[in-house]
Order: sequence, then structure tokens, then C-alpha cells
Amino acid sequence: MRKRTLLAAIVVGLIVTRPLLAANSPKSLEVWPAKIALNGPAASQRILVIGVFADGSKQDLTATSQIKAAPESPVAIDKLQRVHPRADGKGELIVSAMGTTAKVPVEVAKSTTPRVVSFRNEVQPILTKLGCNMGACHGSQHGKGGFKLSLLGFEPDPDYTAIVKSARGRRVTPFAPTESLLLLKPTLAVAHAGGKRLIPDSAEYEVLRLWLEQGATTPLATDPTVTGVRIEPPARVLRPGETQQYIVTAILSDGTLQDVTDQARFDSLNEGVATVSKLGATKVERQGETNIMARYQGQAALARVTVPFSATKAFAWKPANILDEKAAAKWRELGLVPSPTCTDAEFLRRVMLDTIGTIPTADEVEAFLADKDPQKREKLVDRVLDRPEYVDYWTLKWGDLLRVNSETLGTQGMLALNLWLRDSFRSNKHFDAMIDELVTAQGSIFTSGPANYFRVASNPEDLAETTAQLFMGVRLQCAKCHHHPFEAYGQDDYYGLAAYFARIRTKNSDEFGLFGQERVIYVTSSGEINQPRTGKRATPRPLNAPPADDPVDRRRALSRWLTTADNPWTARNVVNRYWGYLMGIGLVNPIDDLRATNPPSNPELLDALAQEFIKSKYDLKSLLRLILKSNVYALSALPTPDNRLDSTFFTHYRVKRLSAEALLDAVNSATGTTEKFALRPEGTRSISLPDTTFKSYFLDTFGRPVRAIACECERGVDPNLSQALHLMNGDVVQRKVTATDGRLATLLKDKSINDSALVKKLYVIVFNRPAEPHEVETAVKLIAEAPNRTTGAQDLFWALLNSKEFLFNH
Amino acid sequence: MFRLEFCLIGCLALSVQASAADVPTYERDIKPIFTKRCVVCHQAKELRNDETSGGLALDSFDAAIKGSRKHAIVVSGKSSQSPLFARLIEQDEDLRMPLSDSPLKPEQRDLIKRWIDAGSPRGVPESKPTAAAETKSIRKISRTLDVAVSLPAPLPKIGTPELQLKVGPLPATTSLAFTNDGKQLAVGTDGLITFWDVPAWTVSRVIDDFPGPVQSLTYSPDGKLLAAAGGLPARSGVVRIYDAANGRQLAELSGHGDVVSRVAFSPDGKQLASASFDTTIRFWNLADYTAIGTFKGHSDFVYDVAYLPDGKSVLSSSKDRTIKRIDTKSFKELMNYGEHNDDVLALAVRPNGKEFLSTGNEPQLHLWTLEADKSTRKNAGHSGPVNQLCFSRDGKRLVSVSGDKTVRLLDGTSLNPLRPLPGPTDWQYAAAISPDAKRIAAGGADGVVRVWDAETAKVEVILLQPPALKPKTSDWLAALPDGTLHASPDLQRLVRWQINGKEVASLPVIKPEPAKNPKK
Repeated sequence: MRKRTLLAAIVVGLIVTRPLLAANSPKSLEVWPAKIALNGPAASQRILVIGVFADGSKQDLTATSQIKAAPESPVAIDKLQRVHPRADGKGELIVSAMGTTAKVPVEVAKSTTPRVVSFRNEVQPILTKLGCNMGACHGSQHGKGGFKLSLLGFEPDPDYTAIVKSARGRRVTPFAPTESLLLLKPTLAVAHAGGKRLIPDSAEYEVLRLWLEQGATTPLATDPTVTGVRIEPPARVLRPGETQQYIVTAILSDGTLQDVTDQARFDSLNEGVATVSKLGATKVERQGETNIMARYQGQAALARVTVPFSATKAFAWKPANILDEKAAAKWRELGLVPSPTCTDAEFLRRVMLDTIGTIPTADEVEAFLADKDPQKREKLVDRVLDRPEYVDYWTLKWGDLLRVNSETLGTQGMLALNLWLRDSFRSNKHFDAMIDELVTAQGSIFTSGPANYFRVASNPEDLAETTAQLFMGVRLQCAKCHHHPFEAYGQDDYYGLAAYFARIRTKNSDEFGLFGQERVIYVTSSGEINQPRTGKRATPRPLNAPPADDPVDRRRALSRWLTTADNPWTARNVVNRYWGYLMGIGLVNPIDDLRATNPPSNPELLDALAQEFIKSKYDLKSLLRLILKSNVYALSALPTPDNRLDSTFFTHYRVKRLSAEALLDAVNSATGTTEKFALRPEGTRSISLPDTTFKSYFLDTFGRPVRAIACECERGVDPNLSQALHLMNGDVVQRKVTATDGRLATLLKDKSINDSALVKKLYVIVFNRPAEPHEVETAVKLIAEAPNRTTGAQDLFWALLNSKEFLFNH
Repeated sequence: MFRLEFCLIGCLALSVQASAADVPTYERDIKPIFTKRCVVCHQAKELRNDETSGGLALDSFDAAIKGSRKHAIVVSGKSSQSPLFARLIEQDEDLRMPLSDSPLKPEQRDLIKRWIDAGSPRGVPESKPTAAAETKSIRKISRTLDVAVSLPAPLPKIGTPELQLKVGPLPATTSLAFTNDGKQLAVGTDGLITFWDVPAWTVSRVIDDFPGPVQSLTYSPDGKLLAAAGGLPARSGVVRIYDAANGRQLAELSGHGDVVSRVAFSPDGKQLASASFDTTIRFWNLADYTAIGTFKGHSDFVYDVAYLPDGKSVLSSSKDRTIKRIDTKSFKELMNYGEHNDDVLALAVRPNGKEFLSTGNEPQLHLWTLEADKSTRKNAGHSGPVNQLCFSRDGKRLVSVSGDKTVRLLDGTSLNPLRPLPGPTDWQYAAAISPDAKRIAAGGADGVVRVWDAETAKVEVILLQPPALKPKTSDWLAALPDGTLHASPDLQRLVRWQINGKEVASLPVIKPEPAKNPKK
């Protein structure tokens, strides 16, 4: 009750601060749900009322609205303004707020059918809402206090047994319901390690009591199940401090709807923007965008909350392609203004680092800056994508994801897979072909690179997880044992996917192959996998799709499904990863975690990107070209006052640390030195190493992954102290700066280069841009004041290499 | 620093002086708060249960001052250093006490603060009011749902007669025992022990004041005593000893903190072992009904206990997935049998004393020799948890009852199934074999007891013992396969018959019972 008053007070407060609105009645009322259907004697429905004002603004008026049943309507309204059935039939509600009224149709069915409390649809959701079955309590692997429930209540049958039958039925006393341990413990009438969870005589308590009184009815196979949930209002534009109540409706398999606002769990996906209470009232904290997630019985729905940064400002914007249009549409929605475009030098360095992991040489910088062609940026993109380092860099990237590693694959297997990747990128093999070659690979692991896919992960479960993660961006690991609350998948889905890999076998041979130890991956015509909980044989079935099989090789059906144009995952997964590689963060983050409950920051942009990618027939270079040639990619990394609060919507380029390999190569490129890796020729670029087992303290410190898991997160991208110390005090940079045949030594030997020219040269070499006059002045002074010219120049060079401008792509 | 402390002490002294008459005391001011908000978990009885009490009891002054196992919670005179106070004002809701509940009111917290600062005085214990006379808890049915039981002998060409009574839901049948002469069957349900005469199938006595479900019934080797065990789940466990001849209660053995799941008499009849959900097994001297030992070696619910024929040790089985052999003199563990991967709900010792069987949530029967650390044999059978096993006296027959809603009769030697015992439609919890091994009784979650002829596997009778419809009466009903009924007068009036879902007025013969109430 106190909360309700508070809510009212907030709403009143808002009205006071907006006198115009208070004076005027809303033009119309938006009522949720727009149509009310009550089914069964215990049905009830909450109503939301949003006022729509003349200026187009909206406001939650639920707390101050009045709801009445029109005469003859078969419903009653209680003190909390909830609608209950009185008799079967149709009628109307009259909703009024601030002098405006609206009518809402209402229909009641089965109001006189005797109520039987459903374990599945009423008891179980309460246990979930009260937290009984959460991981730290009775949902843990072995339960708590001898009482175990399924984690988050996804399995009604074992839970029913645990509550009603196990331990000789000690937890329920159906003939004297209120003496049941099920009610005594959570109300703390009896000691309960989980504390007080349930209030006697509350609505939840009453449902549990009634269920017991009715003899603790079992879950039935014919019980309707929840097939979806709806959260309303689905999208709102709000201001900081404003509040909005939500209602959640469950859609049941028998076609009926149920108001489950009281049973649903609410989360805000970005609590910095808006928080949400247990009862489903959200409160805006600051500008940005978030989604309110409502979960009920394994289903989830999102409602978008947009909080504009400022009133919409006009800005000049010429879209270069569809990506620019979609990005700008979001900025306008949020009142954001993009930063200006970056300089040519920044663009050159940025494009080269992002596509080939290489910083430009001084000559390249100077030539690009001197080029007067207005198309030079587009031409640069095309040129860079054709460079040989493109093959190195993307082989490295996908080598991480496919876990190309000689420790698991052996040297020959590792090289076979590495060479297959190199070949694929050299010929710009389209991504659907790459998927097909990997997923349906057979043959010798020495001669067929993709066959190693079945060595990196070798059992059906691991293969299902890897395939889902790599090609769909779906993290399926949780579903192996239980239904994850934020995921749509359970064990049936998991083993349905694993069934595709149930017929893969490996032939081992000690004598076979160039050095012996050759293995051959092949497919048999039999082999199944069982769903462990039910013990039933799993049917091969892709996620969210009907079963699909293939008479020769099951995997072919999976490959076909993965690469059809309407596959919901494949294209979105790849384009989101590539967007993330280039833009610093994905449209969905983490970039390999696509799911309904993790929505993209700009859904239209992601859709457009995916559509373009499909249109290009999964051409990875044209995907890169599309992003690199957009104006949103070319924005300056410097925020403006109009977008400094934004870190999500790409209004300015997001700086990112150079990856381990790119950084080591950049240091070598700048200092004119080379690297020697075991068994590789002197001067081998680190981006071209076939796996990550080549010893290098530098690369490990800067986050080179071991390639043990198929997760983007394995590669460390965050700066840390040991990196800073390694650069500042470590011997690598020191050695390279002072190398006698290195860049600086060569420049110092050249008598035609004076201090000023030396400084300018170093700036172009390290920062890939001309030095500013004041920078030259300061640096020349530094050299002049040093004990000798060499020491001064070395200090300067060292300082430049340790600066953020060098270490980051910006 | 010095000065500050001095000042604090000074101020404190002043404030104490100012309200000297009003110094809070444990007995008068603090205990009522603890009792209301804390003691449900922090009580002496819960001390062993670390997860609930954290090893702290607040229900007596001494316990509160002693603190938890690790440290004191009250630093007398210094509330700011007292963990007790810190946990009351804690901001983190996962740590604040009372856990998962509203915090204490500010004035209550203030009172506790002042009590600690005043040196946490005890005060004068309130004189205890004389305990009110224990009221008999007569179970009275509050609702009347249909109880439907099909008769085992369908009428040819007509259908299966179904008996319907508006008396449910019935309390589960949790224990069964035949007297040593086989002339009576005792049935334990919630609060109630019903004694049926065999084979007349009328009730000759009820005991209706048992606290909570009767989980175990067993007669002493000489047949003179009946031990009944049970209790209130998560609160108390109790064993009562009755004179088998007249039902008079001879003793109540209390001390268990949770329901007693099984009791067993030693073969010489001098000792009793009680296994409990409180994870302990207690041993009692039957000469004077005193507790003589407690075994605490199990880490979870103990489900079953049985003496070996030489009386020197007992076997116990537990939710902790182990079976243990315990010496009945030293009460120390002699042997651990750890092979089960799930709760071990039941065990039974072969009359030869050399072998025993165990089973549980994994329904195979494990056959063990006493000295082996691995079972010698595993027999599949039930498809759900097995709740009780019992051998006939000669060991030739074995009955097992299960959550798969079946009762199995096995050859006690070969462990091969003999014949199915038809009828049950719900979880079966309890079984008994008559001393001559000719009758088998079983019952479970639906409260229905069935008695079979062990030779023919035909149902001899179906027994119902609902809580009384009216105070001070007892209700019971026995249905014979031919449709004959014996029932208490109240129930007779409620009986309806259905065949194929249609009510039939007069099909079965209802044999009226002389209107007498059984002895209590």
C-alpha cells in the first residue's frame, strides 16, 4: 500500500513539473490490454492507462485512473482496480483519467467452471517467483535440507514428486493443508534456513493452500503449457525520473491468455538506464536505451525503454549506404548527434589495423595524405582487402574461433586446418561454403583441413555446443543439464542438435600417413544419442525448427539448414561479429551471444546488415566493404558534447587496444626490427603464425588466447598493468628502440636529418600522422636537453611507443 | 584518541545513570524480541543444523551470551563491536537478520543496542506459567473430497464396482504391523493407529492422539510391547511404547529433533533403536526407558534401521547414500557400505543374519554379505523409489513397496518375483507380512490399505481409516472383494457405488455393523 501511494506521489510530482499537461486533459487514453479476455473463475486482469497528450507526449496515468464496469458487463472491479469475472458474457470497461475516458471491450468465459489449482501453471510459478528453486536454494544440484527441486522449475513431474511423495510425504498434509511443511517453512512458522519467503494469507499462500486442500493434484500431460509471454506496453519513450508500470500476459497452449504480472520476474537489461521493481514498475535513471525483461515459465519477453539524450537536434548526414541510414535513424530517436568524420590519417591507420592488422608505413601515410582523389577512401578499402595480409589476419581471427592448435590437433592437423583457412580467405570463399565444408567434413585429418573440426570437439555434445556457438552465436552449454532462464532452449533442443553428430567415427592408424598417427573422420549409418533425463532417443532437430534428417549423412541436413537464406542465426551471427571486430562492440554484446533476451542496440541496423550479407551470398569481403565504406565507420573517435554520454549507438568511433599480434607487428614495423619464432624464418609476422603455441611472452601478456574454448571472450582485449609495465620496463621495447640496425639508429646515422626532421619522421612512423608544430617544438627541445642526441632521440621514440595513440586503434 | 574514548565512556555513564531504572534486560526486554523474530531458526534444538542456526541459539540467556561456535555475538558494553547488532543493521540484504524478512523495528534495534551497551544484563527470568494440560489432537476431517477405490473383482459383463466416499483426501498410510500372533493388523496414519481384527476386519481399538504421522510400528519380540514412532516434520520426533494387550501408553521417548522414520527392537527385547530424519540414531534402554546412546555418523535423513539377529549391531540406511553398521554397546560405526548413488530408503536383514538387502531411490535390490564392502548382487525390479522391504519370519518371502505404485512379492532366497499383487494406484510407503507369511498388507500415499493372500495374490480386504468425521468418534471401513462392507456408522451412510461412472443404488450387499464404537 505504501508503494502504491509512493507511485501516486511520483506521478503527481511529474504533473506538477509539467504544468501544461496538468492543465490539459490527455487527448486520448491508451489502455493495455486493448481487449480483455477473462478465462475461468480465478482469472483477473490488471489495466494500464497511458495518457496521450496533444503534443504527442505520453504519460503513465494508471495510478490516477478509475476503472468501472459498464452496466450489464459481466465483470467486477476490485479495490486494486483489477478486473474479475462475474458471469460469462461480453461487456465493456469505462476507463477514465484526468477527465478523458476510453472504453475497453471485455469478454468472460468459463466463469462458473469449478476452479482446480494447477500444479504446473499455478503452484510451480509461485515457487519460482518466491525463489524456492533458485540455484542457491532447493534448485541446487543436491537440493537443500534434503529437499530438491528442478532448477527454476522447468520440470513439474520430479518437483511434484519431491513435494508430495518423497520422504514419505513429510512435506504436505492435504487433509489439513495449513499443517503442511510446504506452508510452515517458508512462512517461518518452522525454522527455515532460506528465511521468510511467503507471507501467510497472501495471494501466493492462498493458491498453495487451495492446491493442497484440493488434494494436491498432479501435473497432467494435458495441462495447457505456456507458449509465450507478452509484456506491455512494448515500447515507451520516457524521461529521467519517469515511471511506467508493466503488465505481463501468458499465452497458453489452449489459446487462452492469463495475466501473470504478479508471478513474472522482471529484470532491466541495463540498470543504469532504468530499474524495475519486483512488481513490474520501472523507473528511469538516465539517458540511453534498455529493455525490461519479463520471464515466466521458461518464456521471456522484452519491452523497450528509450530515454532520449536531448531534444532532437538537426545534423548534416549524407548516408553512404543503408547502414548509415539505420544508424542515423536511431540517433534521431535518441536525440544524439554523431561526431564529425575522422582525418585521412586516422582513416588510413584505422582501416589497415581493422582489416589487415598492420599499421601503415611512413610512405603509405604520405602517399595517402597527398592523394587528391575524392574517392581515395573507398579505393583504399578495396586496395587493402586485396593485400596478402588480409589472409594472415582473418586466418588468425578464425583460427581463434575454430581453435586451431597443434596441441589438440597435432602439427599436421593444425597445419591442414590453418591452410584450409588461408586458402578460404585467399579465394574469398563465401561463408556458407565454409560452414558446409566444416560441418560435413570427412577424411584424413592430414589432408582435409575441415576434418579437424571433428577433432577439436569430438563428441556429439561438444560438437553441438561448438556448432551452435560458432555459427549461430547461441550458447547452448546450460541446456545440457537444465533450461536456462534467459534462454529458450532445454535438454530436448540440446540433444536434438547433438543427434546430428551421433554418427561420426574416427579411424586411428599408427602406420598410416606421412608420420604415422593419421586419423580418418568418417560417418556410419547408425548411432544415436539419448536425452539423459527422459532416456528417449533424440531426433535430429535444429534449434527452433522442425526435425530435419538426411539419408546419407545427417550433417548435410544441418548444413542445409544453417545456410538457407531464412536461417535466423547464421547471417546475424556473422555480421554482428564483424561489426563488433570493426566497431569495437557488437550490435549485440557479447558479440557471440545472440538470444531473444539479449536484444541488439539497433535491431534495424542488424537486420539490414544481415540482409545485405545474405544478398551478397555470404561474401565476407563485401560485408567488410559495406561497413568500411559507411560513414558511421569513418566517424572521429572524439566525442562531442552532444554524444559524450553515448557508448552504445556508434555516434563516435570506439577506441580499442591493438590485438597482441597486431601490436607486436606494429612495434616491429615502427622500430624497423623483426621477430624470430621457433621453426619460422626471421621476420615472420605474428599475425601469420598458424597457431598460438609459438613462445612469446609479449603475445601472451597482450591477451593471445590458448584457443581452448570457442568463445570470443578467450582473447584478452582489456589493457592491464602487466602490459603497461612490459612496454615501459620490459626489455623488448628497450631492445628494439636501441637496436643498432633499427629504425632509429639508421635515422640517426643519416646526417641530412636534423632534429626537427627526425621528430617529424618518428611521428609519422609511430602515430602514422604528421606531427603538429607544437609537438615538434616540444620534442626538439627534449632531444636538445638530453645528455646526447642519441639518448634524447631514444627517449622520445620510447615515449611515443608507450603512448595511447600508438597502442590504440582510434 | 584517548580523549574521545574518555568522552564516550563519560557520556555512556551519564546516559546509563539517567535511565538506570530503564536498563533493558534479556529476560524482560530482549527475549521477547528474539522469541518473535529470531528463535525460529536460532534455537538450541537447531544448533546441530548449521545451515539454519549458524550454530547460534538465542532462546536462552546463556546461549545468547555464549554466541556462535566461532565467536561471541555480544561484546558487553560495546554494541558497535557486537556482531549481533552489526547483523541487525547490515545494509546487505543477504546478510541482514532476520534473513529474507523485514528488519527489526528501529525501536527494537535501539533496545538491543542499549541492552548491549548497558553490559547485556540478564534480569530476572519470568516465572513460567504452568504448562497447560496437553490437549489430545483428535484429527478431524475438514473437507470431503471423493475417495474412490476400485474393487479387485470386476463383475462379469457389468464392470468394476467403484466405492466412493466423500471423506478425502485421506492421510497417507505410513506404517503397518501384524501382531506376533497374526490376529491383529495395526495401521499407522497421521495422528492415528487403527487396530484391525484379523480376519474379521473390524476395528477393535484406535489410538488417536499420536503427534503427527506414525512412520513406524513394530511389536517387541515377545509381543508384549508395541513401539510407534513418528513426529512433526522438521520439529520433533517421538517414540511411544504401548502395552500391546490394552493399548495403554507406557512411555514416550523424546529427544529427536525431527520425525522418527523407523524403530527396531533388539532380538532380546531389551533395547530399542530409533532412526530419525534428524540424521541421528538413538538407542534406548527398555528397562527404564532411558536414552543410552546416540549415533551421529550419518549426514542426512536416516530412513531405516534393523538389528542383526545376534543383537550386537544394527544396520542403518540414509539419504546420505550410505548404509552403516553400528555397535549396539559402544554406538560406534563398525562398517560403512557406500555403493548407492542415491538415497538408501530401506533395508532388510535376512533371518540368517549373514546377508542383508538395501534399496532406495535407485530401485535395484543390493544384496550384501556383512563383511563385504561391495554388494554381491543387484536385482532390478521396481521402476520407482522403494520405500520399505520386509522379510517373512522364515526369510522365504520378501515384500517391497515402491513409488512406482506397485507391491512386489519375491522369493526370499532367490529374490525372483513370485507374483504381482494387484490394486495400488498411488505411491506405496509401508508393508507388513503376517507371522505365518500368508498375508501381506501394504499402503501408501492415498491412505488405502490392501491385504492380499500371499498364495493366490488375491485381495482379501481393502481398509480405510479416515480421520473422524465427528469429534470423539473413529471412522473406518473394510471392503471385501465380494462387495461386503464393514464400516463405522458414519461412514456407512456415505458409501456410494459406481459402475462405469454411473451410480448404482443397491448392487453390493452392505453388511450393517452393530453400532458400537471401538475402545480407545
